[in-house]
Amino acid sequence: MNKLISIIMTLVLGVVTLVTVPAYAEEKVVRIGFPGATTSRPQSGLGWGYVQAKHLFDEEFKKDGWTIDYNYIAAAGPGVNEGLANNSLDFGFHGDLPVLAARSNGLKIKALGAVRGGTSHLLVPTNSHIKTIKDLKGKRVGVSVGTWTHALLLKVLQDNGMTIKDLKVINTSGTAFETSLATGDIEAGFGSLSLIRRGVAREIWSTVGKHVRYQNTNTFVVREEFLRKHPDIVKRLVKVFVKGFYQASLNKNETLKFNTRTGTALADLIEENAGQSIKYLTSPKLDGQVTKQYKDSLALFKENGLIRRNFDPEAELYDRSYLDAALKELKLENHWPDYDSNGNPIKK
Amino acid sequence: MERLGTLEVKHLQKRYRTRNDDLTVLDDINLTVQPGEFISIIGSSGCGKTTFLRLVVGLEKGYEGEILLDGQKLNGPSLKRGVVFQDHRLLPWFSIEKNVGLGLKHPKSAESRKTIQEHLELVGLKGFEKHYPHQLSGGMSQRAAIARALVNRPEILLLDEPLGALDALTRMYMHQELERIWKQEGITMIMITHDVDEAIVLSDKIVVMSSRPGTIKKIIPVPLARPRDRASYDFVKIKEEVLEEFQLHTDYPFTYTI
Amino acid sequence: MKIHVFFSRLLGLLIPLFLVASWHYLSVHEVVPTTLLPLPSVLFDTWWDMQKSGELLLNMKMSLLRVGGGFLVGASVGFLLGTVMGVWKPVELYLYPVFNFFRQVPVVAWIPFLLIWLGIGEWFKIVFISCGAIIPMALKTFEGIRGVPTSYLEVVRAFEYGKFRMFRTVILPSALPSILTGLRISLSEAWMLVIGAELVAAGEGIGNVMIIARRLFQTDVVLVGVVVIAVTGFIMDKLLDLLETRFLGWRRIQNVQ
Repeated sequence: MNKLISIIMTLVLGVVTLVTVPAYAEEKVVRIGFPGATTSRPQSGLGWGYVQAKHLFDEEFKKDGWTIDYNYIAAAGPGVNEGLANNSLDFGFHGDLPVLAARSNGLKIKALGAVRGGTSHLLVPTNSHIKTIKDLKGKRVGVSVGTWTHALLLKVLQDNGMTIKDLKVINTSGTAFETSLATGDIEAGFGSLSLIRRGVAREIWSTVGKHVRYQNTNTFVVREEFLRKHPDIVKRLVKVFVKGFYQASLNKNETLKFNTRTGTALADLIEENAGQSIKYLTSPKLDGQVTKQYKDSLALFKENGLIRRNFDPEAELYDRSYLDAALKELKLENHWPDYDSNGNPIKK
Repeated sequence: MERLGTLEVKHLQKRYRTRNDDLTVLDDINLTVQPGEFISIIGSSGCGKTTFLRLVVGLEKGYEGEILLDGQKLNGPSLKRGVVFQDHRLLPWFSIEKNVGLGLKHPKSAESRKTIQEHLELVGLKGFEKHYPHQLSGGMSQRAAIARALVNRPEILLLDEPLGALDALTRMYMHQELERIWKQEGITMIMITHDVDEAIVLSDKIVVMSSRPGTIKKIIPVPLARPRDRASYDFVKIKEEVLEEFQLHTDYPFTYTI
Repeated sequence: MKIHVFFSRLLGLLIPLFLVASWHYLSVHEVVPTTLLPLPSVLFDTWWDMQKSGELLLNMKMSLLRVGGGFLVGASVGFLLGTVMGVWKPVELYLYPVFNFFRQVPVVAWIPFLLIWLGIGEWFKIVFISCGAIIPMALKTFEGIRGVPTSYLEVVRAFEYGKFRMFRTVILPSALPSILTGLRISLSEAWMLVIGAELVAAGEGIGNVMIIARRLFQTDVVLVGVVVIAVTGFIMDKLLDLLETRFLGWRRIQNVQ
């Protein structure tokens, strides 16, 4: 019996060690996770595309032996959360639903800055009879559960006096979404412009040209533990991030061109970002636009049972100190205005 | 009306062909069994006596020569021939009643029920209808197996060492029972046995077989009055005659002595 | 004697209790973050909430319906397949090699192919579950029939039984223990596969609840799912156990003796 107990203890200790050891592994690597469900490249955020294409992080950290490890997570935002939870990622970059769900369920992360302007299109098969959102009633709708398009669907339904219960939701994403749309297993769902370009689907609604509250507002988050251990690294990282966003904000066409390196055609980028100033799109600030959208989202998610615990993002999520310090150091405090919930600059 | 149950075996030969061997198991067997006769077949292991029995039952196919029942050539198993195996082979998932009724076409009919009841009474198992095989002793199981074989009123009952697995005392009791059933039913019985005493107690004729290939060595009649006394002079005399065939004498008996 | 049996049964609870206690310890002291391993008590609360809202029952019903459908189809086909292979030697010669070939393919390996053929709808799930349920059922039925003692068959052959009556009176009852084992394996296989199928894509069902919970970072709900699946599987197995006792009473008593 004693032997048995000691065997069990050894097993338990083994598991504990396995779970906790990665946290203590001292490697000079910063691991950043991107939701990469469809293209295995960052899908939105012009500043990010620019920073990556220019290898700005790598340049900054090369000199003292730190490397940047970019991870494209097929499971999208929820997958990034898992990476942060099991210590295989230090930084994440994801939309309102994954960030808020994670924090609501106790994942210890802080949001350092914003990455705005993600777009999406509500698609139906080319030959579908569905014309409006109201036509979706009772239909099988593909949803990449837990991602920002899931949240987007809730918003769009709410506008039309419907809820998710009016649909048959089928959890699907990426290529599965595309094939399911083709086979008719799902009758609608949010997807990218490329499906329309290839003649697979037709759009019945899109975020392009709509109120900013429909757009994907990502936040750039860090694991609290990493923040505690390497505040200097976080500080430098945020500085590079701000520097890159600043450069991206200077010339829209140039920035769009750089973003084609992330895999999207220039024409698509132009269409998706039409009617929005490059300054707005590249602003990293956690301003009124972000906080209002997140606050509304929290309420909406609670109402739909996607999160169970409400919390105050100001107290638990946002940490603006690094961004403010970087802006100050780079003398960019006045480069970006604060935007209000409608995406309009607030005059000082 | 002539009584049925005459078995005639003429020049019976049974061979097994294997890839590189041609094994003759039975050779030139000639035997006639009259209706109502009790015949024992005795012989050492491997003399083909079980094969002979299985041929007569119809479980074994392919032979040369003739096996005739009432002048008709045998073709596969038939309800006219009942069989009792060494192991009772009662189906463990059925009650005794159901086991006994296995041979009936419509075991649930009133007539069948009556027949089953009669046969259970015949073998002395009244009151055990609802019991399952595992609840019965070896002797009782074998009696149930006999009832099952008799339930169709076959013309011949073939018994393959039916008492071989029982202990000596139960065996002697079963000898009495078997004799009683035989008399009561007036049926032809052919029994295979190892036990010389058993053969003499029960049989009208003892067929002694020799092995490789199995042939009939001698047919010894047992003209003793029934019930037979194992200690009588005539009994011992016949026993010696049988044992002689195996080059054995009563000085080295291989059967039970009490 | 009875007391002894009672206590030896309790021994089986010792390790689970120890595990739950260690689990509680690990979570309370945050050795493992609660986002990865929620407290047992939280799990209980979550389960109760899901129970109260009817969410659990609704999804459970869906999963059980799929299991029922897939199991019914799979076990029936498996039974027929095993029977024809067991009863007719020529059929065995034709079918068994093919059957053996398909047996080597793990059922999950069919997923991509089935998805192409059937999409992600209910048909996919039913067919997928059936595929898994067929194999153990066919195999165990076949083995059971192959294992029918010749001695029993001879008894009824001597009574001029036809194939069908022989099947009913001897082959089926004799193979029944093996067939029921097949049924049990088949059902637990079906139960495992329904979760697998729902993890691939589903609108409802307990597997779907888990996948959605995972995507919403609700580790506690995921774990409740695991526990519910385990308990359900356990109950289903017990039910078949009762069925076995009912049909194989003769065998149990025989074994005891």
